[in-house]
Amino acid sequence: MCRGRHHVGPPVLRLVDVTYSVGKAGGLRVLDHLSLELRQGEILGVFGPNGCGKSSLLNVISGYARADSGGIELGVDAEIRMSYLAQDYAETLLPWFRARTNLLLPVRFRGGSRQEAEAALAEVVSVFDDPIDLRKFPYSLSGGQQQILALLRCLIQQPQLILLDEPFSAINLHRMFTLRQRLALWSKQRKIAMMIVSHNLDDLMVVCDHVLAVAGPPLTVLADVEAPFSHPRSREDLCSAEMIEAKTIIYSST
Amino acid sequence: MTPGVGFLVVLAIWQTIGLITFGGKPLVNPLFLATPGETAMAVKAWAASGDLLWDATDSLRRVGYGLALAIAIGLPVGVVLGLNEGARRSTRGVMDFLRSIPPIVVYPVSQLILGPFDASRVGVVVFGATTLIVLTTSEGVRNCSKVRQQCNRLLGATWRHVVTSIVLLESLPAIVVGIRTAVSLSVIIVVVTEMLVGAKYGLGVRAAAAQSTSATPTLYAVILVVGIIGLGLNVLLVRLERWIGRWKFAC
Repeated sequence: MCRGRHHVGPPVLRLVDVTYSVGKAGGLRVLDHLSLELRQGEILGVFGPNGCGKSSLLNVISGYARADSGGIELGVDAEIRMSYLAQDYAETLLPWFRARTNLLLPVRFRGGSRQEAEAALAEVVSVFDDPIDLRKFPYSLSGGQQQILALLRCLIQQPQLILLDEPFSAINLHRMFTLRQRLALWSKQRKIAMMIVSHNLDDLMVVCDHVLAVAGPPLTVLADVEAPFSHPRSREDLCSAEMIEAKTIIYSST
Repeated sequence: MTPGVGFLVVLAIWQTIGLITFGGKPLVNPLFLATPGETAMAVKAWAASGDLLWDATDSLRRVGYGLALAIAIGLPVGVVLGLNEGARRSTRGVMDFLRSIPPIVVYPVSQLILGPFDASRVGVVVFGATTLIVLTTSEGVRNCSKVRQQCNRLLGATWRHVVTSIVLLESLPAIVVGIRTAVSLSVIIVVVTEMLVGAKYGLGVRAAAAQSTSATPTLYAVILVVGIIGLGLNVLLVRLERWIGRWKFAC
Protein backbone atom coordinates (compact mmCIF):
# COMPACT_ATOMS: atom_id res chain seq x y z
CA MET A 1 0.00 0.00 0.00
CA CYS A 2 2.70 2.46 0.93
CA ARG A 3 4.24 4.19 -2.06
CA GLY A 4 7.10 5.60 -0.04
CA ARG A 5 7.52 9.24 0.85
CA HIS A 6 7.86 11.41 -2.21
CA HIS A 7 8.19 14.52 -0.09
CA VAL A 8 11.89 14.81 0.50
CA GLY A 9 12.45 18.59 0.36
CA PRO A 10 13.95 20.58 3.20
CA PRO A 11 11.73 21.05 6.26
CA VAL A 12 9.57 24.17 6.30
CA LEU A 13 8.12 23.61 9.74
CA ARG A 14 9.48 21.86 12.79
CA LEU A 15 7.73 21.56 16.13
CA VAL A 16 9.94 20.45 19.00
CA ASP A 17 8.37 19.46 22.32
CA VAL A 18 5.57 21.97 22.00
CA THR A 19 3.29 22.24 25.00
CA TYR A 20 0.15 24.36 25.03
CA SER A 21 -2.63 24.70 27.58
CA VAL A 22 -5.93 26.49 27.34
CA GLY A 23 -6.73 29.03 30.02
CA LYS A 24 -4.56 29.98 32.95
CA ALA A 25 -1.81 27.86 34.44
CA GLY A 26 -3.08 24.40 35.27
CA GLY A 27 -5.68 24.64 32.50
CA LEU A 28 -6.50 21.92 30.02
CA ARG A 29 -3.32 20.66 28.36
CA VAL A 30 -4.07 20.46 24.63
CA LEU A 31 -0.58 19.87 23.27
CA ASP A 32 1.84 17.89 25.40
CA HIS A 33 5.47 17.79 24.21
CA LEU A 34 4.39 17.41 20.62
CA SER A 35 7.08 17.11 17.95
CA LEU A 36 6.35 17.20 14.26
CA GLU A 37 8.03 18.03 10.96
CA LEU A 38 6.66 19.19 7.65
CA ARG A 39 8.76 19.28 4.49
CA GLN A 40 8.60 21.42 1.40
CA GLY A 41 5.65 20.38 -0.78
CA GLU A 42 4.40 17.87 1.76
CA ILE A 43 0.68 17.66 2.37
CA LEU A 44 -0.13 16.41 5.84
CA GLY A 45 -3.61 15.58 7.05
CA VAL A 46 -4.65 15.56 10.68
CA PHE A 47 -7.76 13.49 11.35
CA GLY A 48 -9.41 13.35 14.73
CA PRO A 49 -12.60 13.87 16.71
CA ASN A 50 -13.99 17.24 17.79
CA GLY A 51 -12.14 18.91 20.61
CA CYS A 52 -9.01 16.78 20.40
CA GLY A 53 -6.74 19.78 19.82
CA LYS A 54 -6.48 19.86 16.02
CA SER A 55 -7.44 23.50 15.68
CA SER A 56 -5.30 24.45 18.66
CA LEU A 57 -2.34 22.91 16.86
CA LEU A 58 -2.91 25.21 13.87
CA ASN A 59 -3.55 28.19 16.16
CA VAL A 60 -0.21 27.62 17.86
CA ILE A 61 1.69 27.19 14.58
CA SER A 62 0.07 30.30 13.09
CA GLY A 63 1.00 32.40 16.11
CA TYR A 64 -2.62 33.12 16.98
CA ALA A 65 -2.13 31.19 20.22
CA ARG A 66 1.11 31.14 22.18
CA ALA A 67 2.69 27.85 23.19
CA ASP A 68 3.64 27.42 26.85
CA SER A 69 6.97 25.86 25.93
CA GLY A 70 8.82 24.18 23.11
CA GLY A 71 10.14 25.37 19.79
CA ILE A 72 8.34 26.24 16.58
CA GLU A 73 10.82 26.65 13.73
CA LEU A 74 9.52 28.06 10.49
CA GLY A 75 11.55 27.67 7.31
CA VAL A 76 15.00 26.25 6.88
CA ASP A 77 17.44 29.06 6.30
CA ALA A 78 15.10 31.71 4.92
CA GLU A 79 12.00 33.22 6.41
CA ILE A 80 8.89 31.70 4.93
CA ARG A 81 5.44 33.01 4.26
CA MET A 82 2.62 31.15 5.91
CA SER A 83 -1.11 31.58 5.45
CA TYR A 84 -3.88 30.28 7.63
CA LEU A 85 -7.42 29.43 6.63
CA ALA A 86 -8.99 29.52 10.07
CA GLN A 87 -12.13 27.64 10.98
CA ASP A 88 -13.88 31.01 11.30
CA TYR A 89 -12.97 31.80 7.70
CA ALA A 90 -15.74 34.40 7.35
CA GLU A 91 -14.34 36.33 10.29
CA THR A 92 -10.93 36.59 8.61
CA LEU A 93 -12.32 38.36 5.53
CA LEU A 94 -12.67 42.13 5.62
CA PRO A 95 -16.41 42.71 5.19
CA TRP A 96 -15.97 46.39 4.26
CA PHE A 97 -14.05 45.50 1.10
CA ARG A 98 -15.52 43.84 -1.98
CA ALA A 99 -14.66 40.22 -2.74
CA ARG A 100 -12.08 41.26 -5.33
CA THR A 101 -10.25 43.58 -2.92
CA ASN A 102 -10.34 40.86 -0.26
CA LEU A 103 -8.88 38.35 -2.67
CA LEU A 104 -6.05 40.70 -3.64
CA LEU A 105 -5.23 41.86 -0.10
CA PRO A 106 -1.92 39.94 0.02
CA VAL A 107 -0.75 41.79 -3.11
CA ARG A 108 -1.93 45.09 -1.65
CA PHE A 109 -0.23 44.39 1.68
CA ARG A 110 3.13 43.81 0.03
CA GLY A 111 2.68 46.93 -2.08
CA GLY A 112 2.36 45.08 -5.37
CA SER A 113 1.44 46.82 -8.61
CA ARG A 114 -1.84 46.62 -10.50
CA GLN A 115 -0.26 44.28 -13.02
CA GLU A 116 0.89 41.96 -10.23
CA ALA A 117 -2.64 41.92 -8.83
CA GLU A 118 -4.14 41.16 -12.24
CA ALA A 119 -1.63 38.36 -12.82
CA ALA A 120 -2.24 36.82 -9.40
CA LEU A 121 -5.98 37.01 -9.92
CA ALA A 122 -5.76 35.42 -13.37
CA GLU A 123 -3.62 32.61 -11.96
CA VAL A 124 -6.04 31.51 -9.24
CA VAL A 125 -9.12 32.09 -11.35
CA SER A 126 -7.71 29.92 -14.14
CA VAL A 127 -7.27 27.04 -11.73
CA PHE A 128 -10.31 27.57 -9.56
CA ASP A 129 -12.90 28.63 -12.10
CA ASP A 130 -15.55 29.26 -9.51
CA PRO A 131 -18.40 31.55 -10.31
CA ILE A 132 -17.97 34.06 -7.49
CA ASP A 133 -19.15 37.58 -8.22
CA LEU A 134 -16.05 39.50 -7.16
CA ARG A 135 -17.93 42.82 -7.09
CA LYS A 136 -20.01 41.67 -4.15
CA PHE A 137 -19.24 42.23 -0.49
CA PRO A 138 -18.29 39.08 1.45
CA TYR A 139 -21.48 39.12 3.52
CA SER A 140 -23.63 38.90 0.44
CA LEU A 141 -21.83 35.76 -0.76
CA SER A 142 -22.91 32.31 0.40
CA GLY A 143 -20.97 30.58 3.17
CA GLY A 144 -19.31 28.25 0.68
CA GLN A 145 -18.30 31.12 -1.59
CA GLN A 146 -16.83 32.96 1.38
CA GLN A 147 -14.83 29.86 2.24
CA ILE A 148 -13.49 29.56 -1.31
CA LEU A 149 -12.70 33.28 -1.27
CA ALA A 150 -10.73 32.89 1.96
CA LEU A 151 -8.93 29.84 0.55
CA LEU A 152 -7.98 31.57 -2.71
CA ARG A 153 -6.74 34.54 -0.70
CA CYS A 154 -4.36 32.19 1.10
CA LEU A 155 -3.07 30.92 -2.26
CA ILE A 156 -2.61 34.40 -3.75
CA GLN A 157 -0.17 35.18 -0.99
CA GLN A 158 2.18 32.58 -2.56
CA PRO A 159 3.13 31.07 0.78
CA GLN A 160 5.50 28.19 1.40
CA LEU A 161 3.19 26.79 4.05
CA ILE A 162 -0.59 26.81 4.28
CA LEU A 163 -2.54 25.80 7.37
CA LEU A 164 -6.07 24.74 6.57
CA ASP A 165 -8.73 24.18 9.21
CA GLU A 166 -11.74 22.30 7.81
CA PRO A 167 -11.22 23.95 4.41
CA PHE A 168 -14.24 22.35 2.72
CA SER A 169 -16.75 22.47 5.58
CA ALA A 170 -19.19 24.82 3.80
CA ILE A 171 -18.62 23.72 0.21
CA ASN A 172 -21.18 21.56 -1.55
CA LEU A 173 -20.27 18.01 -2.50
CA HIS A 174 -20.35 18.73 -6.20
CA ARG A 175 -17.75 21.44 -6.15
CA MET A 176 -15.78 19.98 -3.30
CA PHE A 177 -14.36 17.13 -5.34
CA THR A 178 -12.73 19.24 -8.02
CA LEU A 179 -11.66 21.79 -5.42
CA ARG A 180 -9.83 19.09 -3.44
CA GLN A 181 -8.06 17.77 -6.54
CA ARG A 182 -7.01 21.21 -7.69
CA LEU A 183 -5.78 22.24 -4.28
CA ALA A 184 -3.55 19.14 -4.14
CA LEU A 185 -2.19 19.83 -7.63
CA TRP A 186 -1.61 23.49 -6.79
CA SER A 187 0.50 22.49 -3.81
CA LYS A 188 2.44 19.82 -5.72
CA GLN A 189 3.24 22.06 -8.68
CA ARG A 190 4.48 24.88 -6.48
CA LYS A 191 6.07 22.78 -3.72
CA ILE A 192 3.83 24.38 -1.10
CA ALA A 193 3.60 22.47 2.16
CA MET A 194 0.10 22.14 3.57
CA MET A 195 -1.27 20.98 6.86
CA ILE A 196 -4.95 20.18 6.76
CA VAL A 197 -7.08 19.53 9.80
CA SER A 198 -10.41 17.82 9.33
CA HIS A 199 -12.88 15.36 10.74
CA ASN A 200 -13.90 14.41 7.22
CA LEU A 201 -11.52 11.60 6.25
CA ASP A 202 -12.37 11.71 2.53
CA ASP A 203 -11.15 15.34 2.37
CA LEU A 204 -7.82 14.25 3.67
CA MET A 205 -7.50 11.05 1.63
CA VAL A 206 -7.98 12.97 -1.62
CA VAL A 207 -5.64 15.86 -0.83
CA CYS A 208 -2.93 14.58 1.51
CA ASP A 209 0.26 12.58 1.12
CA HIS A 210 -0.26 11.05 4.51
CA VAL A 211 -2.72 11.35 7.35
CA LEU A 212 -2.16 11.38 11.09
CA ALA A 213 -4.95 9.79 13.08
CA VAL A 214 -5.06 11.70 16.36
CA ALA A 215 -6.95 11.67 19.63
CA GLY A 216 -6.89 13.91 22.65
CA PRO A 217 -6.60 16.18 24.45
CA PRO A 218 -3.70 16.19 24.78
CA LEU A 219 -3.24 15.64 21.06
CA THR A 220 -1.73 12.20 20.53
CA VAL A 221 -0.76 10.65 17.21
CA LEU A 222 -2.21 7.13 16.98
CA ALA A 223 -1.26 6.25 13.42
CA ASP A 224 0.53 7.75 10.40
CA VAL A 225 -0.97 6.35 7.21
CA GLU A 226 0.14 7.04 3.62
CA ALA A 227 -2.64 7.85 1.19
CA PRO A 228 -2.44 5.70 -1.95
CA PHE A 229 -2.42 6.95 -5.58
CA SER A 230 -0.74 9.95 -7.13
CA HIS A 231 -2.40 13.32 -7.65
CA PRO A 232 -4.95 14.12 -8.87
CA ARG A 233 -6.94 11.41 -7.17
CA SER A 234 -10.21 10.49 -8.81
CA ARG A 235 -13.55 9.45 -7.38
CA GLU A 236 -12.73 5.89 -8.39
CA ASP A 237 -9.47 6.07 -6.42
CA LEU A 238 -11.47 7.05 -3.37
CA CYS A 239 -13.60 3.89 -3.68
CA SER A 240 -10.72 1.54 -4.45
CA ALA A 241 -9.67 -1.35 -2.22
CA GLU A 242 -6.33 0.34 -1.41
CA MET A 243 -8.07 3.50 -0.26
CA ILE A 244 -10.58 1.60 1.82
CA GLU A 245 -7.76 -0.35 3.43
CA ALA A 246 -5.93 2.87 4.33
CA LYS A 247 -9.12 4.38 5.71
CA THR A 248 -9.81 1.24 7.72
CA ILE A 249 -6.41 1.45 9.37
CA ILE A 250 -7.13 5.06 10.35
CA TYR A 251 -10.64 4.34 11.59
CA SER A 252 -9.56 1.31 13.59
CA SER A 253 -6.75 3.22 15.28
CA THR A 254 -9.03 5.96 16.62
CA MET B 1 -46.37 57.47 10.93
CA THR B 2 -43.52 59.86 10.29
CA PRO B 3 -41.14 61.32 12.90
CA GLY B 4 -42.94 64.62 12.33
CA VAL B 5 -46.00 63.35 14.19
CA GLY B 6 -44.09 63.29 17.49
CA PHE B 7 -43.06 66.91 17.00
CA LEU B 8 -46.65 67.93 16.24
CA VAL B 9 -47.92 66.25 19.41
CA VAL B 10 -45.32 68.04 21.56
CA LEU B 11 -46.14 71.32 19.85
CA ALA B 12 -49.86 70.80 20.48
CA ILE B 13 -49.33 70.07 24.18
CA TRP B 14 -47.04 73.09 24.49
CA GLN B 15 -49.62 75.35 22.82
CA THR B 16 -52.50 73.92 24.90
CA ILE B 17 -50.71 74.54 28.19
CA GLY B 18 -50.24 78.15 27.16
CA LEU B 19 -53.93 78.52 26.30
CA ILE B 20 -55.41 77.08 29.50
CA THR B 21 -56.74 79.77 31.77
CA PHE B 22 -57.93 79.37 35.31
CA GLY B 23 -60.38 81.94 36.65
CA GLY B 24 -59.29 84.50 34.07
CA LYS B 25 -55.61 83.90 34.84
CA PRO B 26 -53.33 81.69 32.72
CA LEU B 27 -52.46 78.36 34.32
CA VAL B 28 -48.75 78.99 33.86
CA ASN B 29 -47.23 82.39 34.49
CA PRO B 30 -46.18 83.87 31.10
CA LEU B 31 -42.89 84.77 32.72
CA PHE B 32 -42.14 81.05 32.97
CA LEU B 33 -43.53 79.84 29.69
CA ALA B 34 -43.63 81.37 26.23
CA THR B 35 -46.12 79.98 23.73
CA PRO B 36 -44.90 78.43 20.46
CA GLY B 37 -46.07 81.52 18.63
CA GLU B 38 -44.14 83.92 20.87
CA THR B 39 -41.10 81.71 20.65
CA ALA B 40 -41.28 81.67 16.87
CA MET B 41 -41.54 85.46 16.84
CA ALA B 42 -38.52 85.68 19.13
CA VAL B 43 -36.51 83.43 16.82
CA LYS B 44 -37.54 85.59 13.89
CA ALA B 45 -36.52 88.79 15.65
CA TRP B 46 -33.26 87.19 16.75
CA ALA B 47 -32.49 86.12 13.21
CA ALA B 48 -33.48 89.49 11.76
CA SER B 49 -31.08 91.31 14.08
CA GLY B 50 -28.26 89.19 12.65
CA ASP B 51 -27.25 88.02 16.10
CA LEU B 52 -28.57 84.49 15.59
CA LEU B 53 -26.07 83.82 12.84
CA TRP B 54 -23.18 85.15 14.93
CA ASP B 55 -24.31 83.34 18.06
CA ALA B 56 -24.70 80.03 16.26
CA THR B 57 -21.48 80.22 14.26
CA ASP B 58 -19.44 81.29 17.27
CA SER B 59 -20.81 78.46 19.39
CA LEU B 60 -20.35 75.92 16.61
CA ARG B 61 -16.82 77.14 15.97
CA ARG B 62 -15.94 76.52 19.62
CA VAL B 63 -17.54 73.07 19.47
CA GLY B 64 -15.76 72.33 16.19
CA TYR B 65 -12.27 73.33 17.34
CA GLY B 66 -12.65 71.41 20.57
CA LEU B 67 -13.99 68.28 18.87
CA ALA B 68 -11.39 68.34 16.13
CA LEU B 69 -8.62 68.51 18.71
CA ALA B 70 -10.28 65.85 20.86
CA ILE B 71 -10.57 63.47 17.90
CA ALA B 72 -7.01 64.19 16.79
CA ILE B 73 -5.76 63.27 20.25
CA GLY B 74 -8.33 60.70 21.34
CA LEU B 75 -8.51 58.51 18.25
CA PRO B 76 -4.81 57.56 18.03
CA VAL B 77 -4.56 57.16 21.80
CA GLY B 78 -7.68 55.00 21.81
CA VAL B 79 -6.35 52.79 19.01
CA VAL B 80 -3.03 52.31 20.79
CA LEU B 81 -4.73 51.47 24.09
CA GLY B 82 -7.15 49.12 22.32
CA LEU B 83 -4.38 47.19 20.60
CA ASN B 84 -2.08 47.07 23.59
CA GLU B 85 -3.69 45.28 26.52
CA GLY B 86 -0.88 46.21 28.92
CA ALA B 87 -1.14 49.91 28.13
CA ARG B 88 -4.92 49.78 28.42
CA ARG B 89 -4.83 48.11 31.79
CA SER B 90 -2.24 50.44 33.25
CA THR B 91 -4.13 53.56 32.14
CA ARG B 92 -7.66 52.40 32.88
CA GLY B 93 -7.68 53.80 36.41
CA VAL B 94 -6.48 57.20 35.24
CA MET B 95 -9.00 57.26 32.40
CA ASP B 96 -11.87 56.38 34.72
CA PHE B 97 -10.76 59.08 37.13
CA LEU B 98 -10.55 61.75 34.41
CA ARG B 99 -13.92 60.70 33.06
CA SER B 100 -15.47 61.06 36.50
CA ILE B 101 -14.59 64.76 36.64
CA PRO B 102 -17.45 66.91 35.30
CA PRO B 103 -15.61 68.87 32.57
CA ILE B 104 -17.12 72.19 33.66
CA VAL B 105 -15.16 71.91 36.91
CA VAL B 106 -11.89 72.38 35.03
CA TYR B 107 -13.13 75.63 33.40
CA PRO B 108 -11.59 77.92 36.03
CA VAL B 109 -8.23 76.17 35.66
CA SER B 110 -8.56 76.35 31.90
CA GLN B 111 -9.22 80.10 32.16
CA LEU B 112 -6.22 80.49 34.40
CA ILE B 113 -3.96 78.82 31.84
CA LEU B 114 -5.57 79.75 28.52
CA GLY B 115 -7.06 83.14 29.32
CA PRO B 116 -10.67 84.37 29.49
CA PHE B 117 -11.50 83.98 25.80
CA ASP B 118 -12.27 81.11 23.43
CA ALA B 119 -9.12 79.10 24.09
CA SER B 120 -10.25 78.26 27.62
CA ARG B 121 -13.69 77.07 26.41
CA VAL B 122 -12.08 74.93 23.72
CA GLY B 123 -9.73 73.60 26.39
CA VAL B 124 -12.66 72.34 28.47
CA VAL B 125 -14.26 70.73 25.40
CA VAL B 126 -10.98 68.99 24.60
CA PHE B 127 -10.72 67.74 28.18
CA GLY B 128 -14.23 66.33 28.26
CA ALA B 129 -14.45 64.98 24.73
CA THR B 130 -10.98 63.40 24.56
CA THR B 131 -11.52 61.11 27.54
CA LEU B 132 -14.84 59.98 26.05
CA ILE B 133 -13.36 59.30 22.62
CA VAL B 134 -10.34 57.48 24.05
CA LEU B 135 -12.62 55.23 26.08
CA THR B 136 -15.07 54.30 23.31
CA THR B 137 -12.33 53.91 20.69
CA SER B 138 -10.15 51.69 22.86
CA GLU B 139 -13.14 49.51 23.77
CA GLY B 140 -14.15 49.25 20.11
CA VAL B 141 -10.63 48.35 19.01
CA ARG B 142 -10.21 45.87 21.85
CA ASN B 143 -13.33 44.01 20.77
CA CYS B 144 -12.12 43.63 17.18
CA SER B 145 -11.65 40.05 15.98
CA LYS B 146 -8.21 38.76 16.90
CA VAL B 147 -8.39 35.97 14.32
CA ARG B 148 -8.97 38.56 11.60
CA GLN B 149 -5.92 40.53 12.67
CA GLN B 150 -3.67 37.49 12.96
CA CYS B 151 -4.70 35.86 9.66
CA ASN B 152 -4.28 39.11 7.77
CA ARG B 153 -0.95 39.71 9.45
CA LEU B 154 0.14 36.33 8.09
CA LEU B 155 -1.08 37.48 4.67
CA GLY B 156 1.39 40.33 4.94
CA ALA B 157 -0.48 43.12 6.72
CA THR B 158 1.84 45.51 8.55
CA TRP B 159 0.66 47.25 11.70
CA ARG B 160 -0.28 50.22 9.52
CA HIS B 161 -2.52 47.99 7.41
CA VAL B 162 -3.98 46.45 10.55
CA VAL B 163 -4.92 49.91 11.83
CA THR B 164 -6.14 51.55 8.61
CA SER B 165 -7.65 48.61 6.72
CA ILE B 166 -8.97 46.51 9.60
CA VAL B 167 -9.22 47.90 13.10
CA LEU B 168 -10.50 51.43 12.36
CA LEU B 169 -13.24 50.13 10.09
CA GLU B 170 -14.21 47.29 12.37
CA SER B 171 -14.52 49.57 15.41
CA LEU B 172 -16.21 52.35 13.45
CA PRO B 173 -19.63 51.92 15.10
CA ALA B 174 -18.08 52.26 18.56
CA ILE B 175 -16.01 55.25 17.45
CA VAL B 176 -19.04 57.02 16.02
CA VAL B 177 -21.05 56.41 19.19
CA GLY B 178 -18.18 58.02 21.10
CA ILE B 179 -18.06 61.00 18.80
CA ARG B 180 -21.82 61.49 18.93
CA THR B 181 -21.75 61.49 22.71
CA ALA B 182 -18.79 63.86 22.55
CA VAL B 183 -20.74 66.24 20.30
CA SER B 184 -23.59 66.46 22.81
CA LEU B 185 -21.15 66.97 25.64
CA SER B 186 -19.27 69.65 23.70
CA VAL B 187 -22.46 71.62 23.01
CA ILE B 188 -23.30 71.52 26.72
CA ILE B 189 -19.81 72.67 27.71
CA VAL B 190 -19.72 75.49 25.16
CA VAL B 191 -23.17 76.85 26.05
CA VAL B 192 -22.52 76.72 29.79
CA THR B 193 -19.12 78.38 29.55
CA GLU B 194 -20.63 81.07 27.33
CA MET B 195 -23.23 81.77 30.00
CA LEU B 196 -20.50 82.41 32.53
CA VAL B 197 -18.11 85.05 31.17
CA GLY B 198 -16.30 86.75 28.41
CA ALA B 199 -17.96 86.11 25.06
CA LYS B 200 -19.68 88.68 22.87
CA TYR B 201 -21.61 86.16 20.81
CA GLY B 202 -22.77 82.63 21.52
CA LEU B 203 -25.96 80.71 22.22
CA GLY B 204 -25.14 80.66 25.93
CA VAL B 205 -24.50 84.41 25.89
CA ARG B 206 -27.97 84.97 24.38
CA ALA B 207 -29.64 82.73 26.96
CA ALA B 208 -27.94 84.50 29.87
CA ALA B 209 -28.82 87.91 28.42
CA ALA B 210 -32.45 86.94 27.89
CA GLN B 211 -32.75 85.65 31.44
CA SER B 212 -31.31 88.82 32.96
CA THR B 213 -33.84 90.92 31.00
CA SER B 214 -36.73 88.51 31.66
CA ALA B 215 -37.17 88.02 27.91
CA THR B 216 -38.93 84.68 28.25
CA PRO B 217 -39.69 84.13 24.53
CA THR B 218 -36.01 84.65 23.67
CA LEU B 219 -35.04 82.14 26.36
CA TYR B 220 -37.29 79.56 24.74
CA ALA B 221 -35.98 80.55 21.34
CA VAL B 222 -32.45 79.76 22.49
CA ILE B 223 -33.55 76.36 23.79
CA LEU B 224 -35.26 75.65 20.48
CA VAL B 225 -32.25 76.64 18.40
CA VAL B 226 -29.77 74.69 20.54
CA GLY B 227 -32.03 71.65 20.23
CA ILE B 228 -32.25 72.00 16.47
CA ILE B 229 -28.47 72.39 16.17
CA GLY B 230 -27.85 69.33 18.34
CA LEU B 231 -30.33 67.31 16.33
CA GLY B 232 -28.76 68.47 13.08
CA LEU B 233 -25.26 67.47 14.21
CA ASN B 234 -26.54 64.05 15.24
CA VAL B 235 -28.29 63.44 11.94
CA LEU B 236 -25.14 64.52 10.13
CA LEU B 237 -23.04 62.01 12.09
CA VAL B 238 -25.50 59.17 11.55
CA ARG B 239 -25.39 59.92 7.82
CA LEU B 240 -21.59 59.93 7.93
CA GLU B 241 -21.52 56.60 9.73
CA ARG B 242 -23.92 55.07 7.23
CA TRP B 243 -21.79 56.37 4.39
CA ILE B 244 -18.53 54.97 5.78
CA GLY B 245 -20.21 51.73 6.81
CA ARG B 246 -22.18 51.41 3.56
CA TRP B 247 -20.76 47.90 3.01
CA LYS B 248 -23.14 46.73 5.73
CA PHE B 249 -26.19 47.73 3.73
CA ALA B 250 -24.98 46.48 0.35
CA CYS B 251 -26.31 42.95 0.77
